[in-house]
Amino acid sequence: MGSKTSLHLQEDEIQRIHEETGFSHNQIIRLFSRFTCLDKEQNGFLTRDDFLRIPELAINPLAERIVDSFFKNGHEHVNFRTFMNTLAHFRPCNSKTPDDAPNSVSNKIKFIFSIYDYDRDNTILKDELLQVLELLVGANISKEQLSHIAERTLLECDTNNDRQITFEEFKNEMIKSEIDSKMSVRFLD
Amino acid sequence: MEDLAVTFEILCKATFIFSFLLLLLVVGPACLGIEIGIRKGYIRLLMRLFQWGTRRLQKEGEMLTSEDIIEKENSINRLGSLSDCVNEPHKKFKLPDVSYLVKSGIEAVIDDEVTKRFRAEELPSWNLLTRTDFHYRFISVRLSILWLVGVLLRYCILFPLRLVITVFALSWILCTMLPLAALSDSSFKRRMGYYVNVVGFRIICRALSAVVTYHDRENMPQPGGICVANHTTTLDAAVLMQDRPYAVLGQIHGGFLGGIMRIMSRATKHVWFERSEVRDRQFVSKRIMEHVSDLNNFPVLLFPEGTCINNTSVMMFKKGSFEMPTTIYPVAIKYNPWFGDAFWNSSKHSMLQYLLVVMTSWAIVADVWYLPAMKREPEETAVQFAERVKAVIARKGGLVDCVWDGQLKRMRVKESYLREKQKELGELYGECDELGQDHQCVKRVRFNLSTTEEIEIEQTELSSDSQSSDEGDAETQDGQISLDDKVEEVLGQSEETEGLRLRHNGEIPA
Repeated sequence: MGSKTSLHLQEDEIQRIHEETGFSHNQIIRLFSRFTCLDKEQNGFLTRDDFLRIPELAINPLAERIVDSFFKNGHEHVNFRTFMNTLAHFRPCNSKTPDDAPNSVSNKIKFIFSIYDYDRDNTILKDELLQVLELLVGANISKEQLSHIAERTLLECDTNNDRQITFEEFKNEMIKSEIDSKMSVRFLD
Repeated sequence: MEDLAVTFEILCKATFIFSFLLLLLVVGPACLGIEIGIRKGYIRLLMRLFQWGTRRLQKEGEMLTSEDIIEKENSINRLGSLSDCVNEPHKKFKLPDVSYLVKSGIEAVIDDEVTKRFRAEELPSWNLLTRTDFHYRFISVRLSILWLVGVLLRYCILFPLRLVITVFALSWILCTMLPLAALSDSSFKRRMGYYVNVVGFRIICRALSAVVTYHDRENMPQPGGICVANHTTTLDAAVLMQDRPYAVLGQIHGGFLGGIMRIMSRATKHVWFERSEVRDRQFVSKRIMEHVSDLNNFPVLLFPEGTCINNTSVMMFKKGSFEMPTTIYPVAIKYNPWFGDAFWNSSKHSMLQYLLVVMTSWAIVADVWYLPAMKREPEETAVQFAERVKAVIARKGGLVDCVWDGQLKRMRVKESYLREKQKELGELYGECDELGQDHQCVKRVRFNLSTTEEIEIEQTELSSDSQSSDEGDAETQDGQISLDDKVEEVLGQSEETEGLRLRHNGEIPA
């Protein structure tokens, strides 16, 4: 609203983002304002540093993984479109939301899956579970205990006993716990 | 030849008339402390204009609401809410658990409490300035014309006028301070010092078209105390000193500015430090106490935030100013963003650019509230006292009371906060050993405490940790202290006291 660079957001781009993400016109403009606020050097894109400069995010134990989810395919920069596509996962959904929409339950679950699945090979191994647990608690729980927790979690989800969690097994576990509301941010109009 | 003479005569006459007007309309009222009402009338006219502009924009459907984008639900400071039930302080780890932190992180990306404090406040409509324009001027022909007229008025008439008056003001201050500096200490000098300061700053405020309304003047700060205020810009000092003079803290610079400072310090007593002395916290406190104990001196003016904030919130007050055993006079300053943005964004504008922006705004309109004097209670720590004063100022000024440290403008948040979150999660997920003896059950009962206590501990965590900047200078991203860093920052350095540390861990003896 207030920044000069808002002028760079063209009407057709707003329309395209609206179609891709489902955000309203108003929301897109406000989120663009936020994007430019984070873009300290006014480059038109965000870097990892720009994200980690946010104090409330920097103290989050999963900060690195969350920031990773914005940077796809090894790119170093996030432009506004990518930014919006990632945020689109967190729009609330209902029974009418099509399965291929970014905010569908299936895609929300995929988002969390990618938090665990660091090497993107579509399975979660015990090691990857351990890595996430270590991010969460740091040095406050012993390695043996963490291994024990990871083992137990793996056994609970691994229905076909191949010592890894596939996306299907993961999805079944998630659906049990109302993941759609847990992964939805309350956007105001 | 004749033309030259005629032109010269006209010039002389013009200068004479102008100086006479200046004397009549600026200097005279400044000396006598009265207001003719030109500025107030100008402000009223502008308000009507903005209201009309807003109505036009509403008609065209171009107004954007300035509410929040999201309603935040997963605060990173409420990890205690992850525990399943009240009596069971532990939780079994489940795969969906990370969703809380993921959502919290995404909410922080969309809207966080700190980043938006270091950027100019956004207006719900348009105040006809180019710098806040968001294609508004393309909407209505009438608005565009008004905007153009505004540009001409501000840049071609107001700006040169203001520049001239500023130059005049600076020379006036110099001329009136010099004879004062030559005098030796006496009650006459002190009284003259009072008036010379006030009149000088009144002229400066007229130069900036600053219209300031003072409320509750019966609470005006008195000598023998420290005046604390929220910090938005370097002009804060001018706005306050228009009503009564204060002693400011500062570093002695070299060069021209340093020379001016030295003259000023001989006329009225301020508290100056050499660059080397600034790092020594004890020394700074001692000097301030020395100054404050002498009732002939003006009250000291301090900005405990240590840096400029955008006037939408009050950020953490450094406790150093509140450790001293003296009376605190809180003052709340709120600028009206419609007439011009008073906030100095030091990463965006240099001092000169900022002054240019201010002098080409419509005006600087501010409200100043003098709050009743406060003293530290015997059982209160300096941090608690600082929080108490901050809450009072925030409430009066209609500002958000923010717990985060203003230094986050340039510094990264400390890693210890992250470690703290990991510790909380560790205790949440830690399990009993085989004997059923739960070492962790004893310690953190805090998840079961009432909300208010949780909040208290939160605040202490944040304020105690960010105040223990024993690492020395606020490490800026380019490694230098920038202009608007005040001596107050030094007062924020401390070692964590044992008392704070205990509360910090929330350790309850078994």
